[in-house]
Amino acid sequence: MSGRAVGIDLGTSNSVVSAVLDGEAVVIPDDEGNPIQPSVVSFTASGEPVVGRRAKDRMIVDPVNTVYSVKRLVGRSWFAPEIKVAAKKYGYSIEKGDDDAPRIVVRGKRYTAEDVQATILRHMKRIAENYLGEPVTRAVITVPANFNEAQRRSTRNAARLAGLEVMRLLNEPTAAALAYGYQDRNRERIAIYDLGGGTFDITLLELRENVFEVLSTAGDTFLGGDDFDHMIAGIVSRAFLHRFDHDLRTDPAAMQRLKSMAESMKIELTQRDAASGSVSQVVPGAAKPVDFDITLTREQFNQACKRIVQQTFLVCDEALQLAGVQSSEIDRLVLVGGSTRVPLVREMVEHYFFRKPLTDINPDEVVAVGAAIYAFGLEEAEAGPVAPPPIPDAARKSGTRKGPPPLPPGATGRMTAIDPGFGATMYDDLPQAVDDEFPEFSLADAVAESAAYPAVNQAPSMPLLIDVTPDALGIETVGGIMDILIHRNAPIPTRVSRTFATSRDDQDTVRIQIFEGTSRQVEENRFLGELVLEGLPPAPRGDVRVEVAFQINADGMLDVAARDSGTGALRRTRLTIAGAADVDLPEWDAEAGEYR
Amino acid sequence: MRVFILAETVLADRVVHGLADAGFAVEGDADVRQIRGFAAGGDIDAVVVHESAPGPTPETVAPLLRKALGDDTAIVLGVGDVRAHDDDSPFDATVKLPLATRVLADRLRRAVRARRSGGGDARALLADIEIRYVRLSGQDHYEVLGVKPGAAHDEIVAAWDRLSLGLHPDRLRALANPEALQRANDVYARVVEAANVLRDPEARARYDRERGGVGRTAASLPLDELSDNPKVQKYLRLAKVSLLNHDEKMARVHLEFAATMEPDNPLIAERVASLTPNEG
Repeated sequence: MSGRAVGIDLGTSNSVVSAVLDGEAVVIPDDEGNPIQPSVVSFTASGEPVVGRRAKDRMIVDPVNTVYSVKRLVGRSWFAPEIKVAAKKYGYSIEKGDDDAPRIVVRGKRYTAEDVQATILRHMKRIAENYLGEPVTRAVITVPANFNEAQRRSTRNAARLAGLEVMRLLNEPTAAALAYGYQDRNRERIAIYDLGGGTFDITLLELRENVFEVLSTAGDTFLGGDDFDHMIAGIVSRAFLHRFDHDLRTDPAAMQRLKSMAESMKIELTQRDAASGSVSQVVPGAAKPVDFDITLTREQFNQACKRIVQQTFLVCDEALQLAGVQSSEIDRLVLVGGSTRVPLVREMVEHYFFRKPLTDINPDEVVAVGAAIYAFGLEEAEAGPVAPPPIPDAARKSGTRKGPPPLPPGATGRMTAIDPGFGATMYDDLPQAVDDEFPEFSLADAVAESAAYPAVNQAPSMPLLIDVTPDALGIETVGGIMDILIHRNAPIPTRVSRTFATSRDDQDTVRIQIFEGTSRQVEENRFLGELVLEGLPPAPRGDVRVEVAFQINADGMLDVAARDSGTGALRRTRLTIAGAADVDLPEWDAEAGEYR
Repeated sequence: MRVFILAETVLADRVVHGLADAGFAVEGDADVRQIRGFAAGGDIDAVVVHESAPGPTPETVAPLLRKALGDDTAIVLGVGDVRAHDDDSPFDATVKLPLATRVLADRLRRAVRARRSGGGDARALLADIEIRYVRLSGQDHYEVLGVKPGAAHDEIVAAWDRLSLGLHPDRLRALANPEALQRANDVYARVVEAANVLRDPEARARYDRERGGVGRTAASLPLDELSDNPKVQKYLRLAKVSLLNHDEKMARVHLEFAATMEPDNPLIAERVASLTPNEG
């Protein structure tokens, strides 16, 4: 029996865990009553990692051993530009690992990004267990909509390391849409504008009663609230340079303090028209540290940061164009992420979408709430039909009965839930012994013949989320051309097949290079990984033909299946994804119901 | 909901207090025999047997309670620490006490619901999946979605929604049979493919032409259905109004403008071509 399911927003700056209690999504606080947990892990001298608020406090005291924004490192190869920037900018040490994935080096130990994410997830798990009073083993975990295959894999790996079964990897904007749209279920178009600490996502959805469908999604993985902090820190350091002829940007520890101060000033500017901060800094040539006070007005902040917000609208234009929709045609606008609290962002977004945003749900919590609602929905779906028998023989002899059988005595024939257009008649309390009582009856034939399409017992209260794949997927063909298999923004799950033949006599493996991206040249796209078809039988070239089905599943991740074109027999494949670290993963023990 | 808490006195009082505030009809005692009095007042929905209750162990008490209270009452084990529920135990659930009231209330309600629900019958669903799977190979996109070739765009979207609600993997989590699941996935993959073509006006037009036979041609469609893009539809509607006013010259102007906005749209191109010969 599986344990309790929760929803977890594993964010760049903050993480939140939520669960549905008595039909209401509750954000779960830690034992000090805090619902928001900073995604920060600090490694103390004793070796025990500290997570959350206490870890964030240690960022100033012990920056070298305090790890933050690790979500930006996840699923990336050491050679990725983002890692290069992080290795230079961040207060903690990042090095290259043997498998080409980055390693975080703290107190002599080397950790993968997954290890640190797992530590955060363990912390969230514990918080949930303490509050709920029962073991928590399963979760819906959210990821940015534009997370690629490697980043999703890494997130799943981190969850496994933390002892959590991932019921579904849910896109953050879709989760937010669910949190808002779940109650009303009108027909409308909704835009989710998500400006977090590290990334920007825009997702457009269409809500049609029970189906929430994503129309398009676009994003920028290096655009977020941190850029506001960076901008303010830059203003302060320039002013300091002007005054004291000393460039603080050469001093990483000082910049760390500056960024922290910048964040506080930014938050203060949300409430007030001006914010002040002070820097106490040792300057070469001065006997004691100099004190520097600075005041920043909202006007100055807006001027400096306007361009950052404008960049988000370029991405919005892209998403609207992909969906074939204009900004004025969006019915509801939802802001997600703490950075959307900044008044400048609110003003500019209102102007762009011609309407005021919905803000009833705390933007820091809305994603976790949506994840919890969906986790609950998936649990409900699991409680549906129980212990089904094997598929009935469709060619079974037809009985004399037309339509569904009459109800056995005592059954009230209550039907549950919505109509999926299935030729299925279902009654809640129909006894299992229908076949015994009605030997002539063929369920398959009754189903085929029934004209009416009443209900099927399938999670009635929960809407269905149909998401899209954020990027096109294809394989490399002759001449470095990208053969696009699955287009960007295709609804998932989606499947495409290609047939490959051997090009040499007795060839025993076929290697296929897989790429993500929309360019026609493979070199302009991102290398995803390699698929190897192994153990092919010796035969003249061209005689061995293998049909490979590429599927993007509901989690937005790639599944591959290969069959011999002639016999239909399954062929052995090996899929390696670039950027996912070689982690020693625990295996799922189905019997014990946990990871070992 | 009517709940009885069997635990040592102080704990029982505390839990009873909390649940009473949450609207439960609840009583508690350290003595199991007090249940009889509570039961006299009405059917009991759940009994929590806590480890701290003096006397026989919860494992001993459980079967006796089951016999006395019947099959509709949830019997829940109360423990002092966070513990996984043992499916082989005689209990329906395991709860840690003390616990935040709203969490305990939710837990008890779920235990009672689980106790009483028999689960649905999957056979009709399985039969449906099987039938659809078997028919797949002979079907074109319209047949897969269960719509007529001339169906309006709204009908196609409605069919897509209906079939997604039935066959999307998230809806089929209760299906334990792996073959059935694979079949369902195969059927849905085909539904997705069909919907991708039929929901895109250009792709649909192309498909209809390739398919031959009765499909949607530019001539058979109302003007404003030639495109899904609202910007383009504006001009198509103007063309439509012009035609109604017998002003073919203006209709052609609007139609040609629409064509420049969507140069790849074969339906508009066809319609423009069909207008030209009529122009005096």
